[in-house]
Amino acid sequence: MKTLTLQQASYTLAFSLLSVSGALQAGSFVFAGEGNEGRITHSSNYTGTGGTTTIKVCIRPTSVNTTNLEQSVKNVIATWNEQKPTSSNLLNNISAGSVDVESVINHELGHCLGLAHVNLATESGLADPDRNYTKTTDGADNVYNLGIGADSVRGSTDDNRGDDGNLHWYRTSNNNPFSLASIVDASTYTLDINNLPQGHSSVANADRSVSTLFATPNTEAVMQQGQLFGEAQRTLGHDDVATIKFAQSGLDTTAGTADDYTINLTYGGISSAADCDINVGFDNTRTGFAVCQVGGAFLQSPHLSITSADIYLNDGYNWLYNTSTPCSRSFTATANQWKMLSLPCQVGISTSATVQDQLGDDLNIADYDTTWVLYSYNPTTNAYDKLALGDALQEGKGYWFITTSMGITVDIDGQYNTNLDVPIEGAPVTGKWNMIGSPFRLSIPWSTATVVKPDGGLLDLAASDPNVGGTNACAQTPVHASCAMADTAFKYDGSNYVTLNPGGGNLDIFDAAWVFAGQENLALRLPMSSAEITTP
Amino acid sequence: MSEKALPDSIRHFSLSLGLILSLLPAFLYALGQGAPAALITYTYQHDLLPKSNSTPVLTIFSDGSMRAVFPASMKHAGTHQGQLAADKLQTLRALLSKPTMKTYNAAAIADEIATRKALQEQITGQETLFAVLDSTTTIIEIPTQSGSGNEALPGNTGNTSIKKIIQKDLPVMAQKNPDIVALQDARELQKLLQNILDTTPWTNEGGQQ
Repeated sequence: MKTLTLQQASYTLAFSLLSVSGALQAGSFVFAGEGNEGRITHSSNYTGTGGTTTIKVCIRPTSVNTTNLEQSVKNVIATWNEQKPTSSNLLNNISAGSVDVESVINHELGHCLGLAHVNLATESGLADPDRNYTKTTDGADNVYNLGIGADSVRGSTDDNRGDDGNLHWYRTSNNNPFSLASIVDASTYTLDINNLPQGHSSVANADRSVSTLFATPNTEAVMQQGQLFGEAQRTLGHDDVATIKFAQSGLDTTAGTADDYTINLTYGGISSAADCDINVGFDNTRTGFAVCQVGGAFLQSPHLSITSADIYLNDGYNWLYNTSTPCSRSFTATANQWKMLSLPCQVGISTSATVQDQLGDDLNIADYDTTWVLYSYNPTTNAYDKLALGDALQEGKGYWFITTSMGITVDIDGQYNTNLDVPIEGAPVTGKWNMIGSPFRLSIPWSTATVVKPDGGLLDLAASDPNVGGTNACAQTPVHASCAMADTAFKYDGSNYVTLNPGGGNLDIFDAAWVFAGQENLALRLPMSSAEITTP
Repeated sequence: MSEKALPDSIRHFSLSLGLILSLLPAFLYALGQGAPAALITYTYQHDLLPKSNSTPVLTIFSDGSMRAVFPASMKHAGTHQGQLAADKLQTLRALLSKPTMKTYNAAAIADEIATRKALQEQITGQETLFAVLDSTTTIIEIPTQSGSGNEALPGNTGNTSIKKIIQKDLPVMAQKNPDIVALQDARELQKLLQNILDTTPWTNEGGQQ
């Protein structure tokens, strides 16, 4: 091989054909930067044609600890496939000296799908905490402008960023990175700061400090750079989901058109097969901790796709391997007594979500619909639906369950639970009933429930069901227009309904309840307790 | 080339370099009377980790004795001693004697890579797209003063007490630029030092960071 020293370098044609590299400045999409703010980077194998884009993730056979990585890699694959937005996703439930490998792979895999940091991060050259400002270029003056604003929180809506060029796609209607539009594309998200809501001077990013300003505390986007020891962050934030969904709106950045795609990550095993698109493994000589290296190619400007993706980890750290189901809770069924049931763990990520797999391991599958059965309530049809064994259960929903068997213990196994925005159906004038379920392992007071409006704003129970003329809006017939969701819910204790209202009552583990809504496109948000966050 | 014309990564590299230099831990060399002099010190910083007490620090002395300090988050947490095998010490000295060890200039390398990138893109008409997310910055310090054992480093005038090699994304930079000798030499050195950190049967001195 011909070698050149720095001093000897001569710029010949042959020279120019050498590979070159650089840690490119990345935006909210990898490869976006100054002069190329609008670049949108798509995941591997997307060609501009709509449909399912399959991306195979493999563990390098040359790596150490390959089998220890498997469960976490599978979980992360499921997490990005599921694209479920969560809040309170920062959990302090692992020992302080450990690093959660699943959380780190979750972050790096996001990069390997084309997502960059949502904050300025270390590539800005700034020190902590200034690197928590929202992702931008440094603008024409070549200096990051870092006005913190009156709230004294970096990365919030009132920052003053001077001529810095925005790289963070934001939700146009509310600039709230802890919310998600029902349709994610260029009609609902933009880079243009001229479209910021009135009173906002900067794009907010889903940093944990910013989360408190949006009444969504203890939440951070997975793509925010920064991993704390003793902290797990295994589920996606709203902003993570928004960014990947925005890419999936295709080359025309319009959802619902022919070039839309859905990523389908698959696990390729411990393999060096040529069709592995993302390769994960330990190699201490390639990283001091964790890294994602990606190559890209243009589809058509400003769209690019990932052409190579490698994740390396350093095995010198005290990695916490998620080799077993992290959340497992059980209840003992009372024979011949209907139970309103919910799931205290997130299913469908590290475990199957089906009725057969979650309940059928404790109850005889062959006896389904004979000695035990499960129903859900459909608010659209105002009818109960009997679940099939292959139907997927969902955390946040309520179910009716009964068995004729005595003393059966039923366990639910899944992923750590996090806050969910549970969609609830409503209707003006008549209202609609919904059967919701607590997604938590510990009790939460009903009084802390809030309602998420279509624009992402939050209503407490009093605002959701105001007193109008001496009667609650949701209790009136017809339902008063100011009724969002009734402030009262009803759970079942085996023989009677128990009322939950702002004055008292808890949703306990496995509890489900009826709620009544008078408006469309709402969601119920139950706040995770601080104890829940630190419970292993 | 004006700074504005440089890729962001290169411009920010110079900013990062200044930051890293200002934050470098004050490595303690055992230069007391009768103690062997430090031959080399190796550590790194990582974008996802705190700047202090989160990465290992390896010091190798002129007689082959070694001291490694691992943070609490690592498997070998604590302060350890070890002895470098003679063949590895010889390999290390051979690497340290390479001319690039004295002349290593990360900023010049970054400039050269930027120039090459621009030239390649001009010829091919295509932008080279490659990104490293969550970087590691390799930090190697080579004392060159009298008694360090590195007096024979080429070009050593005795005026510089410590030669610092600070390189972001060294492994991939070396991989992508196989003809830049300085990067190859630094990468060889970094691989050796990392291997020493990973494979030495360390004896715990006690204490944790």
